Amino acid sequence: MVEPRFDDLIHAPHRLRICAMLSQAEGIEFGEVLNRSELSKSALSKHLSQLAQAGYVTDTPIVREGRSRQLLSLTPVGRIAYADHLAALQRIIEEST
Amino acid sequence: METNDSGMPPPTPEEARRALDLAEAEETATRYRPVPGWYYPALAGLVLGLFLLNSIEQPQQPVRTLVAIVTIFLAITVAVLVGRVSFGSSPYRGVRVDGKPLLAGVLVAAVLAIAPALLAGSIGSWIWVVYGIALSALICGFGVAYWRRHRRG
Repeated sequence: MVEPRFDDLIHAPHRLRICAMLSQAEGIEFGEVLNRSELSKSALSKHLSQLAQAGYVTDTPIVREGRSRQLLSLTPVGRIAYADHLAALQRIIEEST
Repeated sequence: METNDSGMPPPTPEEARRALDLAEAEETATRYRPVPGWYYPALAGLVLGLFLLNSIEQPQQPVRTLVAIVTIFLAITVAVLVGRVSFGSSPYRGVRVDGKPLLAGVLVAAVLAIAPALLAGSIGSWIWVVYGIALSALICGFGVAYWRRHRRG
């Protein structure tokens, strides 16, 4: 059940983009998120660390094409928080009309 | 609605709309993850080649053998190309794809591919050319729409 709940952590544009891109997949590799976000590696790591500390994102080591990679995923808690945040934004828009 | 805990004012409706648009664009970009720019034109060209070869009426030897070899080569290339792009190694796992547009596209393509085989006997093999152009145009059109949608994302 989605309950409108504004989330400061998610609302920051870069973290919102990260959550949005992860929300439509079981996981996306760090390198791909890095490419799409157009952030520096350290800046992306910082955002991911904040999301991970809140329990929203997990980082799983995988191997693809013989190379070690990091697979980033939204946790169930993160998916709920993201959906609730979108609902909160929608409610702000609806209340203004 | 619960507000933020940081003491920051909540976003204005305009800011909320921009944030939702930003999120939707990223979600779309994940669902329609990029394929190489050459994929759709190459696929359209291969399909057109296959159909044009089918339009050749009862060629004599050794042209018949050559046509058969090229046809098989093109068919295998189409299968490998589609297979690699659709199911090959990717940095994405478990993307939530909306299957309805994909299924509709596959069905239309299947009809366009099968119809000339059924009609060629009664109408003439030139029907392969017509359907080949139609199917190639459909693939190119899908590619352009895909590219625009992904670029917006």
